[in-house]
Amino acid sequence: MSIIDASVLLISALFSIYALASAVEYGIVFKMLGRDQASRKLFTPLWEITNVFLVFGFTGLAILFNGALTHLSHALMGTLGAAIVLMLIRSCLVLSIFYIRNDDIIPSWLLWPFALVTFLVPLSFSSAGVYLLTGQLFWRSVVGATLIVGATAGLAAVGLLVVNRKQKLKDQFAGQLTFIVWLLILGCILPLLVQHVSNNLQQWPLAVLVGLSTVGLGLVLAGLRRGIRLWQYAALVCLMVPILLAWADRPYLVSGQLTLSASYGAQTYGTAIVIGLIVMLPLIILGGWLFIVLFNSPKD
Amino acid sequence: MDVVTAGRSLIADTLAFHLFFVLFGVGLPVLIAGLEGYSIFKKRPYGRQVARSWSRALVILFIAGAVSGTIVSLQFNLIWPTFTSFAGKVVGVSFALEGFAFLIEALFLSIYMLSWDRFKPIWHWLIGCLVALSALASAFFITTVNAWMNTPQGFNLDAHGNPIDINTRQAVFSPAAKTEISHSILAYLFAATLALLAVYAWMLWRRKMTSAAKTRAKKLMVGLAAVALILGLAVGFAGDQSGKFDARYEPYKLAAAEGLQQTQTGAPLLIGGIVQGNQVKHAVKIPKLLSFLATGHFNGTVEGLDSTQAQNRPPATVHYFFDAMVSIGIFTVLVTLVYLLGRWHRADWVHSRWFLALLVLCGILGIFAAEFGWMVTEFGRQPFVIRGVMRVSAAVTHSKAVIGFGEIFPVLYLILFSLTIIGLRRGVKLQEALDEHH
Repeated sequence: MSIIDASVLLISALFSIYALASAVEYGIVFKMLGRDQASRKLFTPLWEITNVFLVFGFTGLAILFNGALTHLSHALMGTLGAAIVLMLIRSCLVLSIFYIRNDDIIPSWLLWPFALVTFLVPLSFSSAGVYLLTGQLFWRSVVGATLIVGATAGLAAVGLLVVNRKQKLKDQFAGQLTFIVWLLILGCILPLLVQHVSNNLQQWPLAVLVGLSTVGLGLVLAGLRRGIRLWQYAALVCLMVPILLAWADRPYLVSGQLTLSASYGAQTYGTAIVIGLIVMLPLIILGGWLFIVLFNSPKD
Repeated sequence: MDVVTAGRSLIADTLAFHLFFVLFGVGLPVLIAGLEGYSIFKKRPYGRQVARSWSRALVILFIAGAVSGTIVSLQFNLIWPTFTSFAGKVVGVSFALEGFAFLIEALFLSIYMLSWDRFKPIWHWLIGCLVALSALASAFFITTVNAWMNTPQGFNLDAHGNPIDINTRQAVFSPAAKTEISHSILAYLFAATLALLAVYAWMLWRRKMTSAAKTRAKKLMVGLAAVALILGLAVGFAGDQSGKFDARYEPYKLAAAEGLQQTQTGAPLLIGGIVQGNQVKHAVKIPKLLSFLATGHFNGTVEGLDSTQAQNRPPATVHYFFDAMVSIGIFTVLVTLVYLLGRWHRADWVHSRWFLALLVLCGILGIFAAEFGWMVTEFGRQPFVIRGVMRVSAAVTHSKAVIGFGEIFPVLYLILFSLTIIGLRRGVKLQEALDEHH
């Protein structure tokens, strides 16, 4: 594996983790919309880690493939600028809901805008991914728009399945339904993608995606009869999608416009992330374990 | 408005906003860990209760600080792509390590907050120490990037102006790193301590405390004032070293800060005055003092702005920021010193309303001083983003969309700032922590 391929893998993995964390936030917000008051306690400063992976991924992309930065800045300023504005609005709402008001029931005029911006922030960043994959802003092509719909369904499905994982199977209906929609989009979108950018995209990662969605659909059908909970599989698909799509886009960074090798610049950043991960991993695992134990144990 | 001005104004707004949270994000964990450790080892349980109330404030400040930090990172990549591309090749490691430090801080801050009543105090305190260390590490790594921007090294340039022969260690530990890191981190700690002192002074000023809470608040204020005095003197020493460093490595920054037009021996120190064009007029001049402060000799030579071409000179407005920073530093140190001396002699007037108001003022001014300090650094490097290597105008994006965002962000920052203050007022029960009996 070349250093460029390793960099693609590293960055797409960071965005995968961001996607998974964002999906769980989706799930929590869905629970809040369902007036589940216990969901309030699910918001802690830990969720700021979601942004760390975003920053890691985005800065990694910017630094490792710095030859593309001027191009990306010009093309994505509007989309990503809007994402940043949404992040700020979301923080204002988080402070209002969780730290200023003490309502037992969050008023709708705060809850719905909060839900909306929470949904829109990861989608805004997904639209940057769509640009890399198609070479166009998402609203300019059917493929782009479909990919955004897919991202929405995927985040919602994973979120719902994860936060409802301890519920009875019949209460997981919404999660299963969105999961099916997502898998169908993943399976059906590939022909569209191939038709749109057939000369650029590699076939085998897309075939793996089709395989993942087929297995997923099978699991849903089997799960309905045998009571299988699907959240682990949904999380796996969520982690795999950004990696496989980035892999399919090789050798391009921006499909048909900018190659990875032409944009590649620095490897010190990648090296630092790998070394940092190895050195910090025990601390991160310890912290994660402690957090889960504390989070799940009742207060004295 | 052109793209360069819009980009400058946008990043200036973002950094000024972010800095407010940085100084508490770095200062509060250290103070909380210090107080909790003190209360455990000296067996003063109410100290732990107070530390707990401070930690609640830290969480609220952390939310806005984390989002503004994310925005700083994204804006650097989007608005200054040429700069990020260049800096990433040379000091990208610092960006990565800063991210890791923040990851550890966020993770263990969550654990710290969840485990107040569940871990033994000593274990809880150790987690608090880890939060403080990671906050300090985060500030350390990101300041190495700024230090490198001021004194770039660890690379050569090829024929197209791209960095080659990169030596990461040299770049990360650039000449400015030592003075800049020590000066800025000590200043954050100083400003955060002054702010806490101001909050308790404000509570006393309002006269709504029980007598037991009042006694504890006064004890706490003595401790905070003592810490602030030590930190203030340390910031002054680090600032002096920083000035001497600037005289040697960044002479134009010092010249702009002091309005020194011509290179001279026995250079005077200018205090106050009005900037007109590139000149500082109507200032109080103290003969030879600048030479002494910059070189250690009253007749030492200090470089003036005339030693560089006009288009490479920083704006003379740096003088205002520099004067404001130094004046506030001296004023706040003197006020804390007087407060401590007054308490030492059991004088009642240090808790009179006017003196308490003075302490509140010091808390606010301390935050402004930290802001002014960064303005000296940033304006003093102009017109370069990487001194002598890359101009600001060459670093900016070509996208005109940045102009549209220039007006949205300040409004949102103002709203977020206001909500943070409201959140702190409603969510942090400092008085209850002082009232509780053990």
